[in-house]
Amino acid sequence: MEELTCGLEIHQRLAGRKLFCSCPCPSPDEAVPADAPHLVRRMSLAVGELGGVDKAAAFAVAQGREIDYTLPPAFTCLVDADEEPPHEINPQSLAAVLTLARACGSNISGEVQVMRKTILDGSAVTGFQRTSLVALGGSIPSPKGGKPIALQTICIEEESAGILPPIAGRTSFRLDRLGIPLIEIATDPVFHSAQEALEGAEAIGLFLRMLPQVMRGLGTIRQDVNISIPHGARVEIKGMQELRMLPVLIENEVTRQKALLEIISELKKRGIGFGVSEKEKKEKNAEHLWLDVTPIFAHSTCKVVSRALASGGVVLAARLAGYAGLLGRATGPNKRFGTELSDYAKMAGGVHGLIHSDEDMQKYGFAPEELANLHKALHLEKEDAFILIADARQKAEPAIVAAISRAGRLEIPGETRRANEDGTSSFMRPLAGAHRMYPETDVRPIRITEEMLANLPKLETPAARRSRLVSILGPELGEQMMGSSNFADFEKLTAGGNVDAKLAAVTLEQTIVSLRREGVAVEKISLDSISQLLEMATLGQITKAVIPEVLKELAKTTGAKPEAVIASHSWNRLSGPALAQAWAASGGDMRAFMAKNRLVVDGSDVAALMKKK
Amino acid sequence: MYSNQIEPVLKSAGIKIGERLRYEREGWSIEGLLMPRPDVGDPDCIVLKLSSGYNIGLCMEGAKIEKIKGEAVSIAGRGGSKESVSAPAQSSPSPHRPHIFLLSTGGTITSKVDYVTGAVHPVMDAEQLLSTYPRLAPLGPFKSVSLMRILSEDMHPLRWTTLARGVADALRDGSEGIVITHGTDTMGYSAAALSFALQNLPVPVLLTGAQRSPDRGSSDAGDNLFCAAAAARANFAGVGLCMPTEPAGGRCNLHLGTRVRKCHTSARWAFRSIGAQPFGTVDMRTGDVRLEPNSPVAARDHSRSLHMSEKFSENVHLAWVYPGLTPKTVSSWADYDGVVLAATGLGNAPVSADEPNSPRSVLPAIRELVESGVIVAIAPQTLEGRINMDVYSAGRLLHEAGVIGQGADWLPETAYAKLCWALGQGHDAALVKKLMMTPIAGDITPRSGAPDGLGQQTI
Repeated sequence: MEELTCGLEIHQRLAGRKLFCSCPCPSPDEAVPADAPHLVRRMSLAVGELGGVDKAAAFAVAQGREIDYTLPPAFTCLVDADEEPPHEINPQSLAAVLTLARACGSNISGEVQVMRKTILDGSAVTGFQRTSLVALGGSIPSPKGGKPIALQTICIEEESAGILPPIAGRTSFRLDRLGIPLIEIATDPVFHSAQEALEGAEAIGLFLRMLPQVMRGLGTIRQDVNISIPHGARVEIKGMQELRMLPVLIENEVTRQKALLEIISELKKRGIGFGVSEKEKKEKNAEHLWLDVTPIFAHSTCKVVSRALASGGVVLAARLAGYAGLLGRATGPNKRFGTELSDYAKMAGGVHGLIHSDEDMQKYGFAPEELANLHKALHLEKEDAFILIADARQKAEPAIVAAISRAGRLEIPGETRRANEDGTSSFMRPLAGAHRMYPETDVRPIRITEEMLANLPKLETPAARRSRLVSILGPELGEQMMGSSNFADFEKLTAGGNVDAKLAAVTLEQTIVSLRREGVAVEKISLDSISQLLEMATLGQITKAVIPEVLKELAKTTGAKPEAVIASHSWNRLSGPALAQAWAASGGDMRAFMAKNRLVVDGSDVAALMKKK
Repeated sequence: MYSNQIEPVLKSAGIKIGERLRYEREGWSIEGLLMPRPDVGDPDCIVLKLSSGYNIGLCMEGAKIEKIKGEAVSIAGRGGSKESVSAPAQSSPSPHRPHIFLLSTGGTITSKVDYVTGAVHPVMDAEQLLSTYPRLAPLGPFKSVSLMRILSEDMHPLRWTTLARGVADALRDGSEGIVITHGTDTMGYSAAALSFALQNLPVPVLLTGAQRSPDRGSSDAGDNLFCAAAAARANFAGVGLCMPTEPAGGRCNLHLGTRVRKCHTSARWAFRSIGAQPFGTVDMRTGDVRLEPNSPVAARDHSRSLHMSEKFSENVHLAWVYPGLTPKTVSSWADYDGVVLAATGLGNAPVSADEPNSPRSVLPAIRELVESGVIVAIAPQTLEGRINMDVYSAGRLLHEAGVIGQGADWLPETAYAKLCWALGQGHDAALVKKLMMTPIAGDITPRSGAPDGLGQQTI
């Protein structure tokens, strides 16, 4: 697939405080409290900043559509609710992105300007997302020592609100997620195969994890992908849930664009295809392209239609002259050209979908005379196709106009698409242009001084970290720690040099993990306690075998001290004369002796005693 | 716009705002449009807009810039005079019935963002507002006039006169109701001022504004304007202020012009009625207006004729009483015609009641003010509650010194607007005092009702 080019946009959440307020960032598995307060807002489209599809259509959707927001109190404030202006940019987050930019050799902006990127789907309460370009260019080492991955930009921006199931028919979002700092890395279009892109994404993810501030866990890193093929269009696919789906997603997009190219060339061959110009739409002449056929379906046997009519809806239909057989053409797994039109209709009008002539009419339950009347009304010829939408008029009208204009386009439109779980994608909105962006006047520009840059920590490269970990922990444990979310704790435990590195790694990666599985409340144990405990073990004051037992005790009482726990259980290691005495009194059965004194006696000490004799 | 270091560099490169340039530093280069410098920021950086839409600030130290030929982008600045009065405009087809008059004064509700610079200016006039919010159409027909284009912190008593005359003109034009769009910061003051200047109104006069500018999707401008227009057709008369209720409410409150105050710097629900309940609400979705059955607000009556007294004095001071207020400060108010003291508690000030003539006491200074003809009125800085100067000796001493306001439960801002207005009617002290103490439009009430639910409007 040499013809393919793709670039990646990686979004990585940072832990700590939110970007423009003092709320803490929730961890990715934070639940929404049942009694969290709600807000209801309406997005207005006072200023047409949508561009693309159809302004009027978008207007119809957005106008009056209510959005429900849930505000988990521990993680939201008036800034999230758009009731208070943003605070200063979080200096820790900014420092993290600057550290990264420096490590990538990027050109860092002298003065960071915060921008507003218009977003009207409700996922930003304000109607825009705050974003800043921090650095341009630079690169990230490639996975297999190949050419470094060239970067376009490094930005810092706000995370959007999290989607929730609809509440009372309203689109619903949780605001605790809104405003979490995100680093956005956009690469040049340097990848020429799905596999290359996957490896690139992994390499960037690994590089990001060198930053101590990155958040870990499901959904804390997201990859969007920009794809283009020759004669096709640039398409941006967002919202991929799992990185391993990337190759499938890319392959499906290539398939889709190739299929669309074939449909376009077929249309050209048939000498048909019609465009709906912006001018025509403006003059409202688009109306003659569709018909209100509600009376034909007044007593329809089709459930979809009769349900729409029962709630006061209409049936609109359009003839697509010369399109026979094309709407049913496959564009991917379970996707047809009709799906493309349907996606536009959904986005423009908020309808559930559309029915087209290449579908099984029997399945829909249409009566033959309904269809015959429809054919007559639309003057359908054998070479024609039709589309039909049944819904409330204010939804159906913009929807059918959008579907017709999509059908009429004899090129692949540049789009932002949403990744579906099966590796396909659906249309979200036209590719965003520069017009979506305007300055955030509530936040002052931030001067990046040489002094600020000089005070930043130096970022370790993944290769350097890997070889360091392997050298102290061995290949297996070293590799495990390389990818571990315990890495930061490991660094803290071993920083003073008083704790054996292997012991620290094993305790974090194995002991504590298995205690958690047993149901021990390990989250109650402070890192300080673990540090004290491991120092004692490193000094030989306790045995390694007693560590899990002490941890269990520590988990029982908040604030318990390892030394006190050990003293109260008489868990100090037996050695020297005390051990010799106990051993002498035991009768010399090593197995029985160890079974009895497992927690306080190190087997090697007994072995040494035996040898002495 | 750029600093003294940068201007000459731009000049010698022949680059103006809105033109394309190439920036080069340390072997790295980038192209973009030269943006105007925001008011704040570093004097050593230029701001470029890249093709992605992002702006970036770039240091000029050690950098080279070079003009790129091509068409310049016109970058809008502030336009128009601040007091420009537009010709009345009429909106297109609507039901056949009397019109609503929209008077615009500026403020966030009429602000437009300049998408290039990001600066927000009050530029939309009433006509543009109507075309921006098509959902207002069913409430039409509308007529509109732009009285001024200012941010409300720049409102002053002489501009209240302009507002009052604008309303009177709209009434003469047969309006069924009047909506004034206003910046929110001092909207409460203007509402009070109009309550005094426009008495015996036959129809509703509603002030409304926005806490979020119309450039953003989340703006409250459309909802607030819609509610105010709906209220302007409702069956009441007088000056009201229409702004959102609590966050999840989906409604606007109708506040009495003399009893309303902005109580939050930024939230949509910033406005509260103090010492009274809102006299009605408007549903943001439907425009249904619900008026409180027991409110003191009069019903609409087109046969009623307006009593207008639109003149205001500009020479009134509003002062806060605080621990440490000195006689020197009080004496410095001698050049005013009137002073409103937002006093502590029931109407007290640091007069050292045991030794009222001691150097720390402000009493002699206040007495001097009053004796020299300055009208001194007192209002509670607690906002809630009523002045009673008889309870403590401090109050009694002030009362004896000739401070007025005994028994008044007015807001300090309302008392200030009233004193500006009363002094606008003449300088005869007896007349001014009489006007001040006569309850008008609910500014002073005879009875203090039960707590009005303050604190319910929290998120």
